[in-house]
Amino acid sequence: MDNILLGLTNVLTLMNILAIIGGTAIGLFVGAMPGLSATMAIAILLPLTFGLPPATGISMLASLYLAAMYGGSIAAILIRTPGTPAAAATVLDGYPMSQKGQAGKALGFSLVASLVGGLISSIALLTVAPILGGIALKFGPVELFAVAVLGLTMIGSLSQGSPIKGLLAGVVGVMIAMVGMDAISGAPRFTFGNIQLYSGIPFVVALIGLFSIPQAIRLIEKDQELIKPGSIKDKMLPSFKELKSMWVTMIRSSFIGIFTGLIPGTGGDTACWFGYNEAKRFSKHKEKFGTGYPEGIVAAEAANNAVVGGALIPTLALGIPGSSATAILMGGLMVHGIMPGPTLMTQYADVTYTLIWALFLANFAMFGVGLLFTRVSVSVTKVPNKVLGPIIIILSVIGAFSINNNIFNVYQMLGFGLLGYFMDKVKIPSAPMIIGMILGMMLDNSFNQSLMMSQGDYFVFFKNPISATLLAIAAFSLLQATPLFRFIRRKIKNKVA
Amino acid sequence: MKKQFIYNLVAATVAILFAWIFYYESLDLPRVAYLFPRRLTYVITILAIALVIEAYYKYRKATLEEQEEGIKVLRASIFTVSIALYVFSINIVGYFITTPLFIFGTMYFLKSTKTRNILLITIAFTLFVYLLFVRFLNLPIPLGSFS
Repeated sequence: MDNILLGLTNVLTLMNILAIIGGTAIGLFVGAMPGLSATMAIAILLPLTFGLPPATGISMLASLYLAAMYGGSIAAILIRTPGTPAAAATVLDGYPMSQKGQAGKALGFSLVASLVGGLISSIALLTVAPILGGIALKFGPVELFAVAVLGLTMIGSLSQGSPIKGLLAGVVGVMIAMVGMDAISGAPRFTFGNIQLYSGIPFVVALIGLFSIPQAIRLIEKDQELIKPGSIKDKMLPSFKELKSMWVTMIRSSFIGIFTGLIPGTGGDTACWFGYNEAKRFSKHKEKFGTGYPEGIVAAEAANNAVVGGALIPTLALGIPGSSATAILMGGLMVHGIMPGPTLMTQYADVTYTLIWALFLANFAMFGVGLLFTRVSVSVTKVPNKVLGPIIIILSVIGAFSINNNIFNVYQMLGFGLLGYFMDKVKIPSAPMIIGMILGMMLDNSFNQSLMMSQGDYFVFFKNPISATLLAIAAFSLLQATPLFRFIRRKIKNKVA
Repeated sequence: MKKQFIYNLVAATVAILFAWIFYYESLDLPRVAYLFPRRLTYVITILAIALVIEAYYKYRKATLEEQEEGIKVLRASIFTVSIALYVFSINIVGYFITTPLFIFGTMYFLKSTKTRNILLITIAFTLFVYLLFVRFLNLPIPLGSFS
């Protein structure tokens, strides 16, 4: 309780409130640009926080993440192109509403749903994360190893496309994290005699490269079809009467968003479709979905904003990022010397609880900024991709350099960028690689400590009931992604039929 | 689909090479330092082989060539090379000389907008970066030989 109050007191300083408002404003504009994703925006704007106190900087980035989720709906509604992948389902009903001359109303529904989804998930974060964090504090190396394995396998196996590719990217990420001095023996590992690698590969450098360079190249490699955005002529705020019938959908979608965020590897892009489909399934007017029905917008937008708080729960309580965006937020903490893990809720309670409260307040800031600036933000949907591409590169370079004031980091960032572009072509997801890099040291240390404790007995991981359960879930998440599982399921189905 | 299969084959080969270079590097390490990474090299090898099998299976099943439409390969290649040139010249020439050159050069080549607008974006963005990162945030910027 003391920590919760401490966080609240910390967040209510002028500096932090300004950071929250600034973050939401940037997030709104970034989200509205179809060429920029929230994840990439956080990655390239991370250096902005280096000169700020840790709590202020991270609060700003979290606010940006939250507002970008709403911002994504602006382009989705006005130009039929989701500003972020999380707004993909918003297009279905948002754009038809805008075509009917109700763009303002559509954006208003999106804003209110984003506020409700964000608030419910912030409350969930504020209540669940401390409890989970308290349990995680009792974990020893054996349980921590199992938690990290579970996080990695879930991220890998739930990746879109091939689970093998997701897992491969994750394990390669863990391997990259092994570069540098070994924490136990002090021996330099995989440095190839290069002194610059003794301190390891900063994962913020890798994530700037992996998320920004491929995106910049993707933006220019195709000719862009410029769509003139529709104008907002009507009133934005919906009346209470209009919202009355949608509360159930908003609350249902919010919980869908929280649970989707909780599962590592799934994010706003999954939640928006999940929320939309469930709203349609429960609706008495299924036929109206896709024709400009406000409930469709509300379902998708409440779900994608609720992901933010949900994804932060495992990030803050266990040190396992729930999404690539929260992985970057974690990177921001690491830049400030705050190591992710269960101690985030105790040793760094001031920063962590400030962040949680900042996210709560950011919902109101987003609502205010959204009401004031949505009409202005329409103009950024017109920025050509060929202008954005070179600008992304400039910001990435400055970001990579400013981490350690070292040009070698810029070269590393470029290397990761080119690797990310190749991975993109082979359809290998880059998010598991980043999360593997974060979990790498935790896996290595807890693995070695567990074996030391058990005098080399590998069964130590199965003798402990918590780790055995977690590893069994990990094994199941792996198996369900294999063709063997699909074969068994088909056989059972046939038998039942 | 054949192209995707070849891409996957290249990715698997690179992953196996990467794993075994790391394995070779681990030979001189103390036991506690190599124990976990060596197990990772085995997992990477297994997953890379699984990737090839999966890609081959998909290639055999697919009938139509899947094509990504409208990709300008030459444009993307020149842009990528210009990024590399930009990054490697920063340390020699300095950030505030290479940056405007890169913005103007790439946007002019990409025909991003009118030349007058490109010039305005170049000046405005360089100034913005200078004011925000150097003056306001006091972040270090590589100034090259002109420092």
